[in-house]
Amino acid sequence: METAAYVPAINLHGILPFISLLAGGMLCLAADAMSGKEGSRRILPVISFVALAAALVSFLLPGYPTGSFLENTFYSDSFSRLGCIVILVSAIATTLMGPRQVIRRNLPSGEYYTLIVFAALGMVLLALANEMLSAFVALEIMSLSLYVLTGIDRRSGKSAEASFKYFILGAFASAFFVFGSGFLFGSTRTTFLADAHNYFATRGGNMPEGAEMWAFIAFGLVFVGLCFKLSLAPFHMWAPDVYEGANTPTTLYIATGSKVAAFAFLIHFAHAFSSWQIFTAPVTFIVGLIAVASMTWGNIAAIVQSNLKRMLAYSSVAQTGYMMIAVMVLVALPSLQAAGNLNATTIANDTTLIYNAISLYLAGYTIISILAFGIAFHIGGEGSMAAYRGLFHRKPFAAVGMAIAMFSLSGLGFLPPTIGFIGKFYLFKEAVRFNMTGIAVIGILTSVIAAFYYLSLIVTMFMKAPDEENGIELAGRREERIAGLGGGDAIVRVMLATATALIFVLGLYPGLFTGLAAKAVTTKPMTTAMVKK
Amino acid sequence: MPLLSLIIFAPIAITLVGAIFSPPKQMRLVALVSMLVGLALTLFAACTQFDWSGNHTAIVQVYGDSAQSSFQLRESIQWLSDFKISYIVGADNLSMLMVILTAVLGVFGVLCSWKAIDRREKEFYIYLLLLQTGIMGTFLALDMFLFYMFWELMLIPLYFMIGIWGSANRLYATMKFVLYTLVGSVLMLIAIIWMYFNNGATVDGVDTLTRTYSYEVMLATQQGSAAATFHHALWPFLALFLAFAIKVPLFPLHTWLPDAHTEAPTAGSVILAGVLLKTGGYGIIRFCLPLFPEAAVSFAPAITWLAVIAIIYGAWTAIVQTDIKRLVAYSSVSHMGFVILGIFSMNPQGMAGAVLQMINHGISTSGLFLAIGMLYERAHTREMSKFGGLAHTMPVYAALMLVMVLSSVGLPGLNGFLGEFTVLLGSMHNVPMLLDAQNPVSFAAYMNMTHYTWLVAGLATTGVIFGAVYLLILYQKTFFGKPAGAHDDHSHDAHHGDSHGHGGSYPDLSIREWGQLAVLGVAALFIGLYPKPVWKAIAPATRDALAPVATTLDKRIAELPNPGVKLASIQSETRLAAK
Amino acid sequence: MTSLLQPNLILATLLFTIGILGVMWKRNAIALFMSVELMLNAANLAFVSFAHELGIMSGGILVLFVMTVAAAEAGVGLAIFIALFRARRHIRVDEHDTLHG
Repeated sequence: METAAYVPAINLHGILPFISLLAGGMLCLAADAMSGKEGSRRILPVISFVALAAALVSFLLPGYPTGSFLENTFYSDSFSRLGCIVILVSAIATTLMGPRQVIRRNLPSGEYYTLIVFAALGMVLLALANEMLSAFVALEIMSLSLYVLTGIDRRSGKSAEASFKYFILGAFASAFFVFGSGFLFGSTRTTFLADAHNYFATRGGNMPEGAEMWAFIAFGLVFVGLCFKLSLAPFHMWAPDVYEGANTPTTLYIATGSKVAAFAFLIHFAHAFSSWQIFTAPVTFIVGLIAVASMTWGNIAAIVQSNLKRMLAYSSVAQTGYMMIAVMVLVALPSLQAAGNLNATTIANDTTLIYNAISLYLAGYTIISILAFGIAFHIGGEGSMAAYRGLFHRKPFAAVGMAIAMFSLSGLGFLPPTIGFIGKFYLFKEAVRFNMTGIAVIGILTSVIAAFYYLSLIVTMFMKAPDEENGIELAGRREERIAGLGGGDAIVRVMLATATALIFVLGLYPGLFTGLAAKAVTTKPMTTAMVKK
Repeated sequence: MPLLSLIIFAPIAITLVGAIFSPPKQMRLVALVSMLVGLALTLFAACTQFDWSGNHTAIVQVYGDSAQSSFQLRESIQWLSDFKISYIVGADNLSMLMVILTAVLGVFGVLCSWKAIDRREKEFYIYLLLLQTGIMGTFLALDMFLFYMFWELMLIPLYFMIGIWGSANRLYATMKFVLYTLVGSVLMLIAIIWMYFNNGATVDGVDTLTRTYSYEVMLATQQGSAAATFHHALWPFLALFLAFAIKVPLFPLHTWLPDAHTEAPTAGSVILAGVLLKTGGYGIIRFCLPLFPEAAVSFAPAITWLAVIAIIYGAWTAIVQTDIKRLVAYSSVSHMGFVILGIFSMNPQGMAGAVLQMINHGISTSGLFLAIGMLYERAHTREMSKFGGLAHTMPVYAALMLVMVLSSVGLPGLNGFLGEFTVLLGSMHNVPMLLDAQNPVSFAAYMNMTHYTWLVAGLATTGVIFGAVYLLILYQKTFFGKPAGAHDDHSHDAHHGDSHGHGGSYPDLSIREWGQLAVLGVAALFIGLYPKPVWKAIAPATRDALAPVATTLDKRIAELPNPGVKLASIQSETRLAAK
Repeated sequence: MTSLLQPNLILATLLFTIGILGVMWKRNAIALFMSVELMLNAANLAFVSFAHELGIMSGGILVLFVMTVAAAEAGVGLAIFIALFRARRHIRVDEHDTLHG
């Protein structure tokens, strides 16, 4: 060490989103403390919206670092950047639904908005993390905020119970994560994933005694931990209860934001192992197994659900299963390279393509979820199917929107193609390209099972007469009337309309979304030297 | 002028605009105008712009890949360039015939809903026109992805049409219809993706691949080359075939059809029977045979047997039906079996007969469904036992129905006879089966049945006979005998107190109603008596569809261990095919 | 000097397994939570033993973080238990069946 003092290399643009989210969260707390109930109800949504939007913009600005930054702790590739954008969009959607939700259930607005922003901070950190300790802390920032958001409605027993279940299983998963990190540290002597990658590349063939097994244990434990967070079968049992019990905006947030973050980290994590020759074959198999289990079980269990939110929970299990197909391809790529089918340049291209496929799928899933949960929120009734009987006759726009969401989720390709369809198409295309036709066929056949329950909801909305005596629809509305709510409605409507438009626009021009990442790469390739400067 | 795009999109565009401005009750007029515009455009294209000689070829460029194409009126726009997907439409004789059929039946689809649809009219006609768009697009798309899009587009509108305006058991029927079709179409998607990645030829062990969704480029790459990559692909063929066979529907994948037909509103049944089923046959002729000749020849004997089973099973099941619509639905299974039988005979007669049979079935079965719909509007029941003696009270109806029934039966002089007869002729020289009989380990060789193609033809002929049985039973029970209302008065009135008094005495057809049937009747007579123009239009389609298969068949024949006496006859058949 | 790594890891795995079994079998919320804490501490033990064996400090530092986070988790967790207790008047998990997961 010839330099006198060690100056950490900090890329300001890189941490700008973190700063803005942290500041936003703090500001929310402070503003809540300084203003009364009504005041904070009015001002907090604005603050949190601005903070989230600022973070979003800093990701969209050209020149966001690519590659490692902040002393290798974070790694920004096209996937994690797109993931962060999706996370922030989902957080913004949650915030936009906030004002109505806060009044509807008389929630403490200070905690509500602060936690949304802090959860977003955790998610963004997790999506970019490339080091186990930072990832763990990020995971906990995210999870703790979400546990509380789930249980924030203290008047509802369901909410408390959901929060409790989420907490126990979430903490359980975190423990797996940490224990796994310990073994990774033990086998590769580092908690930095980039170093682990190098370690596997240079010493993967002749690791010291025990280290090989530890590395496998490490992957297994961290993978299980992430599977819990991603609600992949068979680690999905918390999802239906939490989705049903949590308030609808939080459900949306859990379904989209937390999943995107965990997914982005899973990809960083899997990438660290990808340079390890003996790793690919068994892990490809395991990932494939999880994908098949999630697709089939999620879709089959969704059929029998009588609550919309539970149904969407199981459907999200299946949707994550579809994404695991892409992870499977990603994990298998190095072995294809070793077999001589690919060279290094195409492997880089292919990786980008698969990243695009997954991020497009995640973006699609998020936008569709915003539409679906948004309409569920708009209608009220906490997801009870009775509220949807003959919805078309009472609220045609909501019914059509929900139908678009359902068609799009099922991935039916009707003209014009929706983002849900393009996402699935892209995924299956990547799978077929690498001769994983078998899993693509399983995936697409399970999507037929999925079509059954999506279409059943459409049957309920369009083809059944409305139930005259159902008071469920009014449950949320009555409280709003009592609270004298007028505003917030228009915002939600605009949000839903935007989501609907995006479903079609991104379906027709998926390049608009994936291009967001490409732009960042081409405008300013970031090297370590530039960071240091 | 983008004529084909106008044919596909102009009607739905007019309807959507009209839906904004028109009151619900006038929506039918908007829909009628849209359909008529579509028909006018189609006829304009078919009569003045389209070259029916089948000699049209051009070099086309799709994403930098050039190919020779026999499609006319082509339009090509880059669409999703990220995925090399383009919007290409074009027509050849086969698709043009189907488009004409679709355009004509579309008009009838509106006319038969004129009074029958009395609630949520706007939605209904939008779905109907969307369905029309999907079908037109399916027949005209030349990009595999676009084809898939249109194929899926057909699904949703019919799903709503059956689900909202159908009869009692509609929700079950519509769900069954969608799920059956979806299984096929999603597998087709995987096959299409596979085709995208594997299109090319293997030369000296090295794959030279052209990644494309363009049908024309694929066809040019794959055609007749033994080195082509699709050559030994079995499962993509099966995936595509499954999708099309479900739509046709081929036994044992047919079970959705009777339910869907029975529960659908008349317009739904008419379009479903008239054109939707044809998309299956069209798909097989367009994609399965030319792109996968090897697999098609290998599976042909098995598929032929399924077709024979479909013909006989459909006819037998139709005999025992008491619900008129269900009866006609099963007759569709039987009649569409002839289409498959003809296609997989892989000789010119069989193929031409199959195409004609598709057109005939479109005319006669739609006519039957139209007629039944008219009856249903009056009686609100489809039970055969509730009718009787209609010939006395509704003479015009009886006469027109007779034409439709006889056309469906296959009476010489009407269209049905020509199609079925030609298919049967073709099936006697079912080339893949003759080849199969030469194979020493085949079932046919084991049974020493060198003439088993005749067995196939003979069994299929019984289907024609049973067809006569059930259709004439239908006609006899409903139109002759004494009015069923005589002994069924009470219950009938109890159910439909507002309807027209005693069972069997309903008002005869209005001009709108008999006009529809008359047009179809004239078409049936015309094809039956003067088929020459139709044959001429079909011939190029037959030739194009069989050319790649003929190469494969030639090769298979050359590979036979001991070419015997039969070989000469097989060879002559294939020569015919190659011509 | 013989390495303590092996026995330490075995102990950590044992603790972790006990924790897993506890989460799966215990029916009292507090006991559940204790089991989760046990798992986290098993992880800490593994970290410390590896750090000691490899002579790398960062493993030990990580333990501090895990402990801090575990404390935060305890805070949130207990608050949730209290909320649940208020709603239900007990914290026996097997009777929380409003949500039928």
